[in-house]
Amino acid sequence: MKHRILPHGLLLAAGLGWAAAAAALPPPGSVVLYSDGTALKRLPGGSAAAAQWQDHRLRHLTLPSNPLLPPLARVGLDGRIQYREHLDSGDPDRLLRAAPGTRESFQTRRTTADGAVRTRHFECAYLGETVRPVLGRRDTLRRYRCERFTLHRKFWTRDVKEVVELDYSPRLGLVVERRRETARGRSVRRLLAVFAPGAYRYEKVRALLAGARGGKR
Amino acid sequence: MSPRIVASLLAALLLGGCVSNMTRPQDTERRLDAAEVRALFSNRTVESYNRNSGMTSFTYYHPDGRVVQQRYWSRRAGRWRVDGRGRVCLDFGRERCRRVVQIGDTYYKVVPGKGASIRYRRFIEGNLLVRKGERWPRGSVFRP
Repeated sequence: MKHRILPHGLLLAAGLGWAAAAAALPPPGSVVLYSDGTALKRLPGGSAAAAQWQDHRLRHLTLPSNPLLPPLARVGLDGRIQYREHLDSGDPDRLLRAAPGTRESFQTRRTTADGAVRTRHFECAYLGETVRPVLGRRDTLRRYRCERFTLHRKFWTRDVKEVVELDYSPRLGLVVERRRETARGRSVRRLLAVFAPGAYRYEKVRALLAGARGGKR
Repeated sequence: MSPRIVASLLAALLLGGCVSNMTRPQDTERRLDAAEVRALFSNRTVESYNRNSGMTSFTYYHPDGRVVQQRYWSRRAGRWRVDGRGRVCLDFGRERCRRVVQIGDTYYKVVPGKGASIRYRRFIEGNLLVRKGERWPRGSVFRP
């Protein structure tokens, strides 16, 4: 089954000092589907630096163009803000144009609906480029590895909460594969399709997910 | 800190662990009766997750028996009711009745041969799928 792949070259200016990393985000109305059932639909509005998306759980997400950063905000189906998050220190954008092996630590601050503020610590490394087919076309991917951790209050020891490896396609402006490990287990998420605006169909989604799960429904 | 206090704290911690383990409800499965099922679903938008397919669904159960379901960005419409055995029945062209159980703090729908494969994530008051002024979807097949 063939799926309409978005035209590339839709370069949206980031305009925040990291235009080198500015990617061709799918246009509003596009739907991005991953093998674990996650899906994202790009909404109108926002910018390349903070694009608006709706996920398969009908939550509104503000996603930064830097794939290493978590969502900047998440709003539930009920319209309530679940959290806001911003970069507190560090320069993760440096990794978007760095040499392989470069590491960068950064912190974000997440404010949840109940007003609680939490500092989240990350350390990411740029592993280098790899070339492989993505949605039927050879693509150059940038590979990253990130750890999210907490620091012990007294001893400042690191307690790793999750390790994530990302393969990111600057051509698509999307993460095409994510391998994640937490205390609960390991998971892999692969890009299955990008539906151009108007091309999304439930039956296609269902068939693709069934195929990704080895035909199991 | 004296050894006595340390011993007391250790004992409290151990006992606390035992108590919390004893009262952990994760292992007990309780079947809901008809009144509970009706109260759980009626006039609520319910988010559910199919552990087999990996799909998330949102379903609004109108008190008058209509139901609308959304998966991804597709919707279908049908009917719902609670049968005499306390099962929730959904009809999207063909009625299927399933029992609902509670395991710990979480509710599940039990599918024959697949067990508690539908996990209910959230129950939100009211209709969050069809907004005021919006037409109720038609057809029992997901569109688009």
